[in-house]
Amino acid sequence: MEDASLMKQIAGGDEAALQALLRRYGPLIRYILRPILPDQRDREECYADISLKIWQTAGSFDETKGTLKAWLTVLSRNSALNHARRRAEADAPLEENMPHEAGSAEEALLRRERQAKLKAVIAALPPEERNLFYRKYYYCQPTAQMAAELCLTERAVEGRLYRLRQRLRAMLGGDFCE
Amino acid sequence: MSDDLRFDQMLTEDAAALPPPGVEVNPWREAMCLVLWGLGLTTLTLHFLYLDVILPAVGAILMVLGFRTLRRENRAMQWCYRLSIAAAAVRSIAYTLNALPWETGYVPAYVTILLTLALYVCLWRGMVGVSRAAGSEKPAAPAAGALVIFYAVMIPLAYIGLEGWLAVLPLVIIYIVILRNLMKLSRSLADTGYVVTAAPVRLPSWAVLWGYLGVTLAAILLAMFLGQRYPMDWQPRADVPQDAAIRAELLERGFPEKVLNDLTAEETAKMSGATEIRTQTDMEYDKTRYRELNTDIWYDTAMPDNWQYDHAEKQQDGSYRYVYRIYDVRTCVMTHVAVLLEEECIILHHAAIVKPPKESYTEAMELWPVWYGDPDEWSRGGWYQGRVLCDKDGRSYAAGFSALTEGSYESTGFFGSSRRSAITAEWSRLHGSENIRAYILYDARSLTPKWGYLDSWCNCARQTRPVYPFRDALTLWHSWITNDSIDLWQTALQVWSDEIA
Repeated sequence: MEDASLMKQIAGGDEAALQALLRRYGPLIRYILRPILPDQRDREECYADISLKIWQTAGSFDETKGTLKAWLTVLSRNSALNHARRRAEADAPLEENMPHEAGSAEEALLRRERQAKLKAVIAALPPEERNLFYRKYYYCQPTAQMAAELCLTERAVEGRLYRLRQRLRAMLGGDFCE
Repeated sequence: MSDDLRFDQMLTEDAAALPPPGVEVNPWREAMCLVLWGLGLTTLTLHFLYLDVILPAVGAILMVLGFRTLRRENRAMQWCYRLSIAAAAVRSIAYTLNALPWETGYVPAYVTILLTLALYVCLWRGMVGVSRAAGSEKPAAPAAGALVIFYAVMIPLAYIGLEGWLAVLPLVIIYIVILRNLMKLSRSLADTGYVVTAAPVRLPSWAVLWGYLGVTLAAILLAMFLGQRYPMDWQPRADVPQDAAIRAELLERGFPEKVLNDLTAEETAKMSGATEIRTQTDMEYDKTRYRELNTDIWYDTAMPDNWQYDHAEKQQDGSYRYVYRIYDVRTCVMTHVAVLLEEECIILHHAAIVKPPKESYTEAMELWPVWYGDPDEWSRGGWYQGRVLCDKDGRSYAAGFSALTEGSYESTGFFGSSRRSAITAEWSRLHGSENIRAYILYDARSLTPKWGYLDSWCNCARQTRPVYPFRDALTLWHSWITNDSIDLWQTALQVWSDEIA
């Protein structure tokens, strides 16, 4: 069955369609969760959250804006990072003078500028470096996983990451280097 | 927090704003892509520019790289990895052996067939395993199964020697369809392929790829440059002295002394009672080295065989000076001797190599005996003998030919094909030797009371450079395409009897 019709059926309340989608894209979701949430229980919790979000927001999926795979990738990554952040906050001792999470309006503006700059820089990277960037900073993969999947030694990956970091520093400059 | 960590954290946070990754991170897809390319390349056979060697070698190592990533996924994939390594090793060894004058027969082919079949079975089970691990309702890999059946059917067909486009074309089409379906299957498994955990590697892919190809190439080159020689049993020359009376008799009748000195006592004894001896000597010159002669004499019909007219220069007084190229660097002295006895004749072809090249590969002599040219007057005697002699460090050495055989072969020429009788000898020189001589003697029976014409050809071929795959000097000469890899001297003993002359 096509991805779009599968999502329409889920939006219409078809549980079997959700099961079919999870069977097809479950491995992708788990692949994204694994490096961000090393704990098995956290992953299962997060996976359940993602399933629920798919069930609740399937109607908002617009196939003209992107593929289902990309939609699920963004959903899974953000859910995993939020889950990890919540877990870290719960584990950390309370501190006085904790900064406000959202930050000021000025900070938000600066962040948007920074993100726009990063977007342009990443688009200009050669494919191998872009792949490495996404693995490291988007999927948050550990060096060992990157090395195995790229058929490189860990040392080689570390070397490439070092060079990529240097290059990004040079290209981004400004706020990123402060 | 260190500066690098802060920078990394900032990038991780801001990466959320990036568009969804278009980059492919699925470990399955990359690995299966390598495996499928490997399957295609190892099956492809293009017989030009050495692509029949290069493409399968690249294919074999691509399969190793693909299965290396997947080897920890399940037991079948682990076996795929092991079998692909074995197949790549066998291929590398077989390619190296192809550069050597060794007959390996069908052993490498049989081993490769068995390994490939086992590999296909494991690939099928491995793909089913991945499908199952991904939670597929009906784990299956039909295209991989079809590949196994196809290959199993191909083995007996290859054994019975299936030939012809009508028979082979449908099989090629079926194979392409299977590969296409396998590609589709791999793509359909791509989303489930995220369950695959890539195995860590000790060597990067480029090192494995170029290392394998480099080692194979180095082994082939070493085999080509050092191994394209026949094994020879060189021994210091220790001949029993020839019978003085027979020797004197042969010399008296005109047997060339230098040639006679090379023969064994047994060979000279065979020529006892000679009624007549005919000899002929031919000089062979290097066809690439010459000197120029500038003269005012125009050599019209009197020009020696090894001279070549180059050009004429007009002088101020209106006369001409002529420039000739003189090819007088001797490469070989061919001596032919016919020893006529009662009712039979012994023919000797003797080649003395002058200034042989430094590199030594394979050399050969092919005689077209007298009964081949004139079957009405001569018939096969059945006896033939010969050897190679040389000097090294002041000592004289002798060895039997690596192979000395008599038989016939199908010869295809401009006027069609014919069956040619031949006595052939093959050898390789002793490294660093000089004054190299090789000779063959054979006997022929006279079918008429009085012989009229004797025509015995001697073709000497010397491999001048290594060739891949290995072909000896004779094979190179017989091939129209590769005969630029040899030096060839073709001479013949052609004498009429005195009565006819």
